[in-house]
Amino acid sequence: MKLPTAPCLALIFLFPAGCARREAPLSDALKRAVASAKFDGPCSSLISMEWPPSWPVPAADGSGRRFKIFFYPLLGTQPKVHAPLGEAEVGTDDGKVLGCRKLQAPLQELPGARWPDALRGLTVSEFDRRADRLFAATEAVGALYAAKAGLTPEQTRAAGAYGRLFLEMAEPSLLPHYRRLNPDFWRWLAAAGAPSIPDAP
Amino acid sequence: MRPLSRLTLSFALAALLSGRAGAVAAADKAPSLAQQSAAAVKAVCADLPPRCAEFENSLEEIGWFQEDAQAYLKALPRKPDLAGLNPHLAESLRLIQRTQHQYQGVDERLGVLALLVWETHKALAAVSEKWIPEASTSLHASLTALEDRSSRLERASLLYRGPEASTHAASIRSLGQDGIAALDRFQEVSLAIDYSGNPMDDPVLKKRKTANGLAVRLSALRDRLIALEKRAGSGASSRLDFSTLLKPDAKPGPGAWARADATSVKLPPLDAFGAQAAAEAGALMTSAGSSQPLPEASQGQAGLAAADRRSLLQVPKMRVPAPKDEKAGVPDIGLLGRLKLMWARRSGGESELQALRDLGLTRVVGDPKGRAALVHQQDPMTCTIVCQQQMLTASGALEGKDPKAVEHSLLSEAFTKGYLNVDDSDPASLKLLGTPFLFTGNLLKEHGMIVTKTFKASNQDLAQAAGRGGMLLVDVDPGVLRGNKDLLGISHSIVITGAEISRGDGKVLGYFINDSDSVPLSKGEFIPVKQLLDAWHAGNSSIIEAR
Repeated sequence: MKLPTAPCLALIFLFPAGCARREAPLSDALKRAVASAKFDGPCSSLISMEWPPSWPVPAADGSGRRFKIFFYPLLGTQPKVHAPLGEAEVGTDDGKVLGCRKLQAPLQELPGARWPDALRGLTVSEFDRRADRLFAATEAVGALYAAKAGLTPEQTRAAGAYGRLFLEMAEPSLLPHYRRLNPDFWRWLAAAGAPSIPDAP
Repeated sequence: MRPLSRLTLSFALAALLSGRAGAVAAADKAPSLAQQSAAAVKAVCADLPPRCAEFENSLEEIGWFQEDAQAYLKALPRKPDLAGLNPHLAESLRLIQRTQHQYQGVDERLGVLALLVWETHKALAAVSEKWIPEASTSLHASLTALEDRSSRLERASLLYRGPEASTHAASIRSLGQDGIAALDRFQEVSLAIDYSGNPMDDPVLKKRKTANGLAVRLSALRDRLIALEKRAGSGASSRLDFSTLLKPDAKPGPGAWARADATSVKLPPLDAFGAQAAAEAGALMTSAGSSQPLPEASQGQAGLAAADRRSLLQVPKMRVPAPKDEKAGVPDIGLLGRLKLMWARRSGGESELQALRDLGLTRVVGDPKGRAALVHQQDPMTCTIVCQQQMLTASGALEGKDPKAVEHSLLSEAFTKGYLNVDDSDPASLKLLGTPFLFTGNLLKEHGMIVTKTFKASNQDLAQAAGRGGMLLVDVDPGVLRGNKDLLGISHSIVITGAEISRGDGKVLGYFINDSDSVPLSKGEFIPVKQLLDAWHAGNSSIIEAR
């Protein structure tokens, strides 16, 4: 356990919250790029504002700084997930949309709730904190995937942690669509011994 | 690089293109790309005969577009002509989108069709890049001249009460006509900015900021003219009349800013959105304002009042804003009040707000109570439409007894103009799939309102906009706003109808909103400032104001 520092000891009775141990801030470049994607570049005239973005998946370009996302409609008062209708590629260098397209697919409702059951009890801020971790882990694993090199044990653990967190957070009914974004990435993740999205039967 | 990346990357870089070099290059390359396109369609047709007609139609449409656009570029006027340029730009974007569907959804070989359109789009965008600043500067100069004329008329209006009044009224009308011309030019600049590239890129944001400044001046000028008309005794003009005079189906009136060349709105087949309801709405969307001829100013009093010959120097200045001093008028709350406030501040959050209210230390800007009546429960994915409906109704540009029918009518209008995403896999039953960001606020513009769009706005920008007292269309993340993680990531349009402000320091304590998608319906609902700002920044922090 980390002991409080001297100034904290002095101030602990006045401002107890100020001495709590803080986690290192996570990079939010990817989070910001994903959140602003539908307002940016060609997406601004193609993607409906009402369609939320998916979690990002590393792209196959080999840079480790490009990620693919899709957009899907949520319809109804108890929002029902529908198959994706748009797709984009975002970069973390400048947070810009690098490509965007509308998918030519009929509106198709998918079964099940939006989020996995395990997330049911979370508040929005708890959910947000996990989302921040997932964005940071995605950026990290994107770099590992791009390096195309053998993983150290620590990197293998990181890839495993990413896979678990992703499956914990991803919309269950959209998993096949996540796989379609970059099948090579999911195969690579599985080969690294991490939880991944299996190939469709 | 894949065609998609080429296309979209080029799209993002459109702002960097300049001069006519692009136009010349496009003209040089067009024939070879055109031949390649014809060959690609032939090849794809051989593999996919059932869809051949679709691709051939695209090729034919592109051919027409190329012909028109190239002719326009060849005879390019020297002076900015955004009115002539904008339709070509709009058509190129529509065709790019259409061909994109085909090469991404059907066959990559069709990508060459998109490139063919793209080449011409680049040339058009390069012209637009050059013209927007020129048109803005020219509009700026025109506005300065109009403001000057308006000031002189304001002073004159206090002087003349006799026969000169009719000359004066004629001058006001003439100024009004010039104002309409300025409004048209502003709308052209605004549209060109929408078509000119990535709305989030700094150069585009800068252009939009300039245009917003022009819009503010334009609307101030309009208000001054309306006041002048009133003073001149016409009695016809008001904000409400102004909006209705600009309505597309309104009879052109002689009042200030009446638009004589307006065209009517054509509605598409309405099966998709409820034919009956929309038909009712069509009937309801009649002119609400007066279209009676403007009487000659002070005719009835002609001869009764002599010209006022007071010195110009003694004429009071018009429209001098009252000094804003938040401290002025703050009630003395006494020692007990201060203690109560101090205690509430320690508790924080709602206690502080309640204490401030109890002590009379807050004031409300806008009209949350009056505007609460404007909202109704929306259909799925129509939040942006219903927000614009509220703003148009408040301005008097729309009138309808049945808000649902008016919503459907606006929906049809937006659909016709390509502002919506629609699932058209079954033409007999179209399903609405929402509004892309770039088209938000366009219906306001279509109905004659002066629209400003501010993207990546700050908390201060929002507070200032609310402080002006108008209605604001903003996008929020409903998941953050309502604390519902099932809704996270959606961008939902709401209307800010007012704000509650601390009298002491002028800080915004919260915003009043109309949220057409909430159950129960949110009508003038108070949202604490942090909650609203969090939800607003989770989107793209945009503000759309209509004047």
